[in-house]
Amino acid sequence: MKIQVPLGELSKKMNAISSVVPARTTMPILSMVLITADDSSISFSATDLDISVTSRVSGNIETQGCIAVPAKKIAEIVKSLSGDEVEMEAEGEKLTIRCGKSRFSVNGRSAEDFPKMPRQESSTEFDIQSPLLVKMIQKTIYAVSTDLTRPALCGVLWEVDRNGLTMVSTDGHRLARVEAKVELKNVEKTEVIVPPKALSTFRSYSEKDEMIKVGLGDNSVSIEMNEVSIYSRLLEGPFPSYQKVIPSGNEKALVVPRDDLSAATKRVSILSDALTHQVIFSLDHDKLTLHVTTQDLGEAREELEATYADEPMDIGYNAAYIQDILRTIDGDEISFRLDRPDNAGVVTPADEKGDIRQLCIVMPLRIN
Amino acid sequence: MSDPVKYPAGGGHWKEGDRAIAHIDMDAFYASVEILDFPELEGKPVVVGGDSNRGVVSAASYEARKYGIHSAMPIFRAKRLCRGLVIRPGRMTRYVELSREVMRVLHGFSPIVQQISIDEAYIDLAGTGKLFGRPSSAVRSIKKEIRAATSLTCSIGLSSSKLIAKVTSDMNKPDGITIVPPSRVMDFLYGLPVGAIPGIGEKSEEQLRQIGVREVGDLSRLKPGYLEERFGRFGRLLQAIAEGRVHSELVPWSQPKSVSNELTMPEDTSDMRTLEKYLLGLADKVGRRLRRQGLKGRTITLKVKTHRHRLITRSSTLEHPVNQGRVIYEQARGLLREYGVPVSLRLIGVGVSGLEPESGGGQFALFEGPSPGGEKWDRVERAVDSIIDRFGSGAVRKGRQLE
Repeated sequence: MKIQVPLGELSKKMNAISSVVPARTTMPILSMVLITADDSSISFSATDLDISVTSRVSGNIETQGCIAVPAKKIAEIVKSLSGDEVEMEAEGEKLTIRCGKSRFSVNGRSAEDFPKMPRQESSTEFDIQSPLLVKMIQKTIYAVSTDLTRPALCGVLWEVDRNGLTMVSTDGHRLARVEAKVELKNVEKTEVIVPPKALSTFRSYSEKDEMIKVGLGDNSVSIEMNEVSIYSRLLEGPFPSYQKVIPSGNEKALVVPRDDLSAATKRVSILSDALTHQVIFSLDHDKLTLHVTTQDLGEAREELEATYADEPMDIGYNAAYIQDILRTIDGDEISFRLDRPDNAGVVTPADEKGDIRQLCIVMPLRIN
Repeated sequence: MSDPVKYPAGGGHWKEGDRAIAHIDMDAFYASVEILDFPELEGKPVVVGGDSNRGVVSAASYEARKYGIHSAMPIFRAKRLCRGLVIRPGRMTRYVELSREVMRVLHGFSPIVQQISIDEAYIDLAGTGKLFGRPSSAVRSIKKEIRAATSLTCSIGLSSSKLIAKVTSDMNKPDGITIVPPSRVMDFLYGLPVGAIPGIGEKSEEQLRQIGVREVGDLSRLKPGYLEERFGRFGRLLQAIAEGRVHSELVPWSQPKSVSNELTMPEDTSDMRTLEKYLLGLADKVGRRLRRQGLKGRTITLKVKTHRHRLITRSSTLEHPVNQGRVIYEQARGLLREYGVPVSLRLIGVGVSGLEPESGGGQFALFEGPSPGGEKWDRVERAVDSIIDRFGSGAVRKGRQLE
């Protein structure tokens, strides 16, 4: 194999693919990146056996071939180089990198040792604009659980049918849902749970506004972009029946400016408990007061103008949960629909517009 | 048999409002249970401990102690001291069973019982006079009832504080009662060698001897503030003891700071598969103990000791607290792989700290039920718990542990 690739593009691709390479592994081959030059393209592949990513680079192919080389070292070398073009040449299990007056010879492994993830047929496929998918991921990925004892919650639920795509995530204390109404032709009604690594990897590669192809199988998801292919295992369900926990009867409506609430929450939570991050929302007629009292630390309070016409009420929340919502919700004004201090609150943009509908649920903290 | 009741500082009575705290210590507990269940061991030197030469003595019968054998002594040394030594592997299930009996007896005498370990507890007898008579007769009844319920003997120290009760229970062993009435506490304390105070080890004892302190009474003759100046926090504690301020409340139950389990392996090994197998068993045990106490923890610590006795620990902290054996195992295994095991290991252990109640810090849950999205594993582990509670720890094992 002998190829020439523009340095800038190579550097960017190597950097992105490094995030797929597992930080620690008992299989040394997984810390490698597979470089392939065939009759039409040059590609870089990495896998941790749960996800595999192939990233294509344009360049000149002098001779075809392939080799596996240590990903972190190659990324480091490429990053350190200066020049316009890099030449890579594989001979046996050695890769020689030349750029300007620099020359590296890196020990690698035969490409045959590089694990291939078993490919599964997709049972349903659809096309979607990448910015929409990125936006939906951003609005759900934060609520994914990291609790390995609840594997089904450690991913984002995708519900697909002809009328669109819905994504839902929850960690058992809060829930995020986004619905996109898009016409998806020939799509079978499908539900899958996608691991967050697949989603964040997609997000890190997605820069251009392009149409991408998504394939869903029984146990896998594939995302095809122009230059990158991502293939990932799915998480095993069942996802809990989340519809049941979306309250329908919450009558008390609070509307607050998003940025004001975010800034005030940030300020008062400086003195909140390090473990619970408790901040109390005191609701009164057209007024919202945030306050924090932490033993050994002190107290903080801030008043906000708001729209509220119901009976006065105090509710405790984890400030970090509130900030996650405010960070990812659209619109200048936010609507809370509440019931009691021990019941779920529903948060939505006060004024729904655009191509997606967004809803968050947050459970309160017991006020002590 | 020794005189059943001793008054090392002289007699006296409890008055209305005096504190009455007894320390109950089972005599050579594990070894005594072995002799109880296997009468042919009667009169023989018996120890309970790891059967291999690598183990240590967990308990030694009084017969074995005559040879100078004591707990925490390596088995091979105990064997050298006594040729006919009987070494019994521990039967934890049985010991726990009898320990529960003992605690049940104690709870019959007072609601305030603080269990310190499997064979040791404090009991607060203040205000039980109408039911059980004077504290000095109550402790006699306690001893008799423990004997009736378990056929085992214990030693009891009775005084007005935990510290003195603990020190005295050791003075008339086995099968004895030692009483220091409230009016005699200061006399008793002043005559006590400082080394007898729990927490004062050989080093502190030596340091104190250098400044002329042998007995607690010597402490009280020092200039006020001197002890704190010289020994810091420990000095403040000594000062308090010298002034007779030795009261501490009985804590019927206190939340542990960490839960851990460790194992000295039958032979040193660096084989990852073998180590992971042991780790799996230990992690399961830790998870079970956490669940039984209704706790979860965030920090998982791996502890290993190399064949050269070098102790190494590695920790990682999770975002959410856990109590499932499987997760504890996965984290600990990650730490073990990270460590890489460059030399063979003698001991392996895993612990969970950063504990909090299972229910969380007041955060309401969105879903009902124990663990939505993880129902399967939660159900499996809790089902295993109930089987083990009924049939003992050998009743269920993971497939990998059978290899």
